[in-house]
Amino acid sequence: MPVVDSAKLRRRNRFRRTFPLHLMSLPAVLLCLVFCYAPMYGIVIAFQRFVPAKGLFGPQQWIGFTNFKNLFAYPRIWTYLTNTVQISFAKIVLSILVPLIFALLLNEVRKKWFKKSVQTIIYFPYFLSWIVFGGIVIDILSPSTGIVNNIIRLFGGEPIYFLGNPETIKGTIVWTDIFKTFGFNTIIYLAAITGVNPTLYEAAAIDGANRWQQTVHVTLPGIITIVALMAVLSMGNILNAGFEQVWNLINANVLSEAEILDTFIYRQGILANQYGLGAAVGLLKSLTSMVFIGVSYIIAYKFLDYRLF
Amino acid sequence: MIKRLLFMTMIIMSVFAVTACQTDTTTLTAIAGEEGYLGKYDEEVLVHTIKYIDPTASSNLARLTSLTGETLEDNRWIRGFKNDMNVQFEYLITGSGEAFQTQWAGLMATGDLPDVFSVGFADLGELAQNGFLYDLTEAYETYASPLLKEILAEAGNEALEAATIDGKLYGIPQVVSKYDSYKYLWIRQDWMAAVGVTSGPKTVYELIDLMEKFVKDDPDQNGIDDTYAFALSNDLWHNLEGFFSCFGAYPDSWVLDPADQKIKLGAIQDAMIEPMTILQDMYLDGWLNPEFITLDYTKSKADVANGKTGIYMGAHYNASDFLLPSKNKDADADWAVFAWPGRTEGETVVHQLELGVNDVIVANSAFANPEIAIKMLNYYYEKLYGETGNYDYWGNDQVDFIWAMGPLFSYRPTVNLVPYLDIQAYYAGTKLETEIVGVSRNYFKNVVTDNRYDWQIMFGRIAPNATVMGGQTAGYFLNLVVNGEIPTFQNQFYGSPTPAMGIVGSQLGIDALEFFTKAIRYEKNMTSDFDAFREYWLTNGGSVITNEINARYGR
Repeated sequence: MPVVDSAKLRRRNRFRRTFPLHLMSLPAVLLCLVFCYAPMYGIVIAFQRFVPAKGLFGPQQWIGFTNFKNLFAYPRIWTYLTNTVQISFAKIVLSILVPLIFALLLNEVRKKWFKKSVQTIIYFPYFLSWIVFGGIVIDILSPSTGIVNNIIRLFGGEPIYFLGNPETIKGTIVWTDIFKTFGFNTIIYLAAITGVNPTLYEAAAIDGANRWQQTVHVTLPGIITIVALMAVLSMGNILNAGFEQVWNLINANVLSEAEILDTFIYRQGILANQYGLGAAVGLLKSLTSMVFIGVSYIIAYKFLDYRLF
Repeated sequence: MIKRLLFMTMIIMSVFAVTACQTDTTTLTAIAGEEGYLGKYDEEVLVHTIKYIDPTASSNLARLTSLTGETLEDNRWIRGFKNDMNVQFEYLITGSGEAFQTQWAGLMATGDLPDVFSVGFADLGELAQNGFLYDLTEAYETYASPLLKEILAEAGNEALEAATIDGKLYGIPQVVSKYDSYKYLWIRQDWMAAVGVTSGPKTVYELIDLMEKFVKDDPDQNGIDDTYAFALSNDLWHNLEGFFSCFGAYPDSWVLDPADQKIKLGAIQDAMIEPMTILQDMYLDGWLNPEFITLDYTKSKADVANGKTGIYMGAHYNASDFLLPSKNKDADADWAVFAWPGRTEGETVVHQLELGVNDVIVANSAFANPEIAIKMLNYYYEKLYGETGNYDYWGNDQVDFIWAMGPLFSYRPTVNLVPYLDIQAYYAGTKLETEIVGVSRNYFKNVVTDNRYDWQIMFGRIAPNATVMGGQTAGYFLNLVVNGEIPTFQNQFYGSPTPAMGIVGSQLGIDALEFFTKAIRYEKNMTSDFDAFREYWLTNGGSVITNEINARYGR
């Protein structure tokens, strides 16, 4: 009997077995290559004095880091950058906390129809685009006719011009965004809670834990990896304060307080034809996102033992 | 090796370039003269172009298709160019709104430009400076028909100047009416009567008194304090331009300072202080809708339509989208235009006008028949306004906007004035209905035959009971503006943006809008904060832009 290299055979067998599975991932890989990797060529625009008529691959003039220098020469760029980070940081924190709390509360509801209908209602705004939802927000927050200010007046308060006052605009942007998206995240956490092993609750109950203690010691540790995953993924958005939303809610009176990097670059890069500048900001944003995702992944890995790879 | 190859290619390319130029000159001289204006080519010339479709035109196009079967790609204009000039137009892209802009950016990025096409001033500058456009200076002299030259003269010297870069004419202006940028003072005469005022304001302070009466004296007599001085949206200058002119302030114009003959931005001049201070007082006293910052141009219609205000400052065409809804809701509404008063009685108020050109027609430098850019305009105007033309067929035949369905469109600066004068002549009995022809016919139908309210107050007659107040139609004032009896000046900046403008111009513009919005709401004062804003504007690129503009116009 000839000697067979068993390790080699095993590997070949395994390959034969998993090959169709690899093949199935091919479309996804192709999509990724075409839509995520190929467009990276566009990064070159950040270092060019880009004239569209010369073509993407045409003889564009190379200007090194001039676009970046121009970017930081804009007098208000630091204000806009601060706005961006403030708004997106508040959004990241609250979009974890609010849905988490809401999911925990909803989980305690025993009436199934009530739970389901609440879930559906809070989920609904998530599907509206900001063009539509922005119009609704402007109407319900109007100091003269909006429902929110009518309620404030009912309790004897002074109406607040949420979208017009420089002091209130950032909070309004953050909270309306949370209002729009928390239904979606709540469902994710509810799903995670369902995944917690019920025997753990039984064991805790036998040990004499009340509902609150069960929540803190069983539910929370059970879903903490999902929370960590959501946090890691959202850290990449530190410079994405939500273009669509801000563009629809911003007005001239709150420009210094609400303009974010994305709206700035839409004005300068697209509306004012400065493609090089736009690409430069895009590149900077991607690099920052990469750093933030990397760091938060390491943190999650170290402290929560969460692994993506 | 590679270097040598590159060098060889360059030599070959430059040879081609030289020969290309030569053939161009020969064609230019070959068919010059009378024949050249509309001359037919022996062999069919295929012209690739792009077509922006006006949203209003597209609904009319659908109606035309159902009536005659004409489509965007095959209609009387396209066929006319083919049959009369042997020029076949083919669209590389068609569309409207942002979708068109996206397509156009995509087309440009392929580096494969159309042959003859229409561009805005930002693209014009960039394309010309990078050698993509044909220098049309000579071709214009040779080919432009007398009619085309006459119409461009109506638009003013600035029209051609705006398309000229470094002494070379790179595009032929597609004119709109510069007079459309004149702002009118619309007042409700029934409200004037309700608050006991019997004539239009003689000074701007009388106008402010009238505004106060409209706010405080319950002009709509509903017993509720619910009226504003005038309609204001976050598109500030559309509403305020005319009011500011009364004080010699021009917030969104570049003005020539007579003292040192330099061009300066109107928004940072001292003249801004008085009208801005008045607006601040109005805001604090509740004369203005406090929510104007979240009211865009369209949303601000509601204040006019719902009878919240009896003064509207804006364009003549706002009679249709702002004033007509108010008439529909309240049959007593009686809008009329009044003269802008000065600070003292009889003081002349000078108004700004914008350049009456949004786009220009250019020719690709690699195209063999660049003169088509001019000949197509010759043909277009000839068919609409020329001796052999027929407006009723080419412009407005069963459906409107046929004039916009060909490969290009352009207006005449006097497009509103001529019909107004024709209609007045008809009223005066000096012209018969049958004598009203061409572009005036459609106006006549809307004003006289259909008696539409918005058309009446623009080009017809103000209701006879108004004779007491002295209100007029928009056309009455348009006539005075065109004649120069109401003095106007051209915004001193026009054409493609200067280098610094391309970089910081839009940012400074939006900063200015923010400052003045905040200033009206009294979040900024017009003393120290205004000085700080001026300083900010000048040091962050404003003075560079100012110098560039002065240099361009040799000041």
